[in-house]
Amino acid sequence: MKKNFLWILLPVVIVGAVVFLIDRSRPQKTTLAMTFVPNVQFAPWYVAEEKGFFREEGVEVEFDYRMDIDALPLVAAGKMDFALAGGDLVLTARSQGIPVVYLMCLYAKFPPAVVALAETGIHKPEDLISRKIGLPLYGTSLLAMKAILHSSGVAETDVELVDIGYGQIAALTERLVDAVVVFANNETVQLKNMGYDINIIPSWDYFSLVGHGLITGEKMIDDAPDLVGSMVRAGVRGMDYALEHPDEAFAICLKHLPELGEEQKKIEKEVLMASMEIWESGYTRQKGLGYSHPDAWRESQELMYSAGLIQDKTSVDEFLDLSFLP
Amino acid sequence: MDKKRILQIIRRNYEYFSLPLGLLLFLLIWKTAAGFYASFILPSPVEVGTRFQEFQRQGLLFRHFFVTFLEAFAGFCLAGVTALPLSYLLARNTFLEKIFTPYIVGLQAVPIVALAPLLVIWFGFGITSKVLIAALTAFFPILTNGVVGFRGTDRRFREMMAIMGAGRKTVFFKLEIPSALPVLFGGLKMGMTLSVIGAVVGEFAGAGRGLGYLVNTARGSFDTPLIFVALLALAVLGISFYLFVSLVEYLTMPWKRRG
Repeated sequence: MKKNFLWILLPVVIVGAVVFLIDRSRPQKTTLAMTFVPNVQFAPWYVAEEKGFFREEGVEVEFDYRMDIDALPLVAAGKMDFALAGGDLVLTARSQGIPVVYLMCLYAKFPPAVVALAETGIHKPEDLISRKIGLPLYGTSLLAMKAILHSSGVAETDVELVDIGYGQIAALTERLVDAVVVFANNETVQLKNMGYDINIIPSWDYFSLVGHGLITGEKMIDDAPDLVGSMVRAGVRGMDYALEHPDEAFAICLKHLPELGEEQKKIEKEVLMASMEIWESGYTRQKGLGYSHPDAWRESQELMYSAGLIQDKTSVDEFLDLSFLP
Repeated sequence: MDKKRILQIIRRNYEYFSLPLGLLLFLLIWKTAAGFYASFILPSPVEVGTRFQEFQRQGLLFRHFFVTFLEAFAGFCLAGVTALPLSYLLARNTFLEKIFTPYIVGLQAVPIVALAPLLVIWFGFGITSKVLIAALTAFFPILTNGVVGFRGTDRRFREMMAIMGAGRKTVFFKLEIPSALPVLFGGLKMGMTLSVIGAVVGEFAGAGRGLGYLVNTARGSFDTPLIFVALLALAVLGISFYLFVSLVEYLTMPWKRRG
């Protein structure tokens, strides 16, 4: 009887062990919300997927595309795992008590810039007095505008801010406004390729907030620190590889942008090269890719607070976690 | 008063109780659902109420409300004055209908969300583009209902009026318009509420004021209770517009009241 029981138990144990081992070897699935639409600016994660960096970390990533202002609350609530969002959005969310954490930076320099057609004679912030500036009147662009004005001593009442949504290029080229706020690594490249002579006032000349980076919710860090570490490490490897192999990185990006025509491909290659320039700063060259200085966050929070963009300040330790960076 | 009497009163006047009861039920469901989510995902009615009071005190809500009201109403009027005459023309002339219909249907098929940014670029970021977008949104239901309404005139009445020697003008004012009115007002009610959507879509594409602009800025600062305040204000605007058209319908069709 005992012998029969053992013969029945043995196959059950073997099958159970096999299922357990198969399950353990399956990669852990996760989602990463990239902002808005596929773009060469997300090259590190496209490279990480293509070169198997995620796979080596035991992770399978699904790319999701939606606005960062929509993804961030979902990440904080644990409805999504990871997202890319701007440092300013993290500070805004934190001032509202939304438990989001910034893990690694993509843009070591804050990308927005004020751009004007050369014919307007706008070269510096003081030239914006009595002029119309078009931008989406919220988020990253608004912060950049306020920071540039504040840092250069120009009162907001001396300029006219016009909400143009995301139609910056059309608004500028149609001369509906005198200047627009755009990303220095994106729309400026497009304008130059369209043959426009432009002047650029980059925001990183005026303050040092980091731009977009990888974020997650506090709960994710508590519940799945290994997964968080895997995502950060793979992302940094992706950035590093892309910097070393820009042409290959661009070819990988094109797999996510099949609709691009030949003309647009040339422009997007320049966008990628311009983006790579702001992945690095003096600080990241010292500490490593993905690092951001806590002082830069404190300074930016102070600026946003005094500009009335946020009502409460949070300790940087609560929302900046660089412990997962290599 | 005994229980039976109370139940009798409720049974006779249930439609008057249904509105506040429906509202109470809605608030109860909302409050219960909000308990399962963080307030930045789904705020409770109390949080939204508090934010509403705060925003009202700043005097900003009416300013945004009025801008969207103006854009939607002006857009509706523009849609009305273009769609109604056109609908009569198309109803009476099948040749013209065959020529215009593909363009009208094609325009309707293009999502206004895709068209709005272009219209804002072409007509500027001020109120003009929003009025045009609102008009485009309201145009189609007013037109199609107009065509159906004017075409629905009973042929026997038309023949009887012809026998009685009625002129074109008399037939238009005494027969065609009264018989088309019920269907026309259906289109106007739809158009009026859709014009609000059009105004908001226009504001999303680029604006400095309005309830759509308020939704966008509230999104940007993760102020979900304020998003709800804006959405509720939009609902109030849409309901007010609908009731306004219903009132005009009630006043212009006395024979329906008598019937």
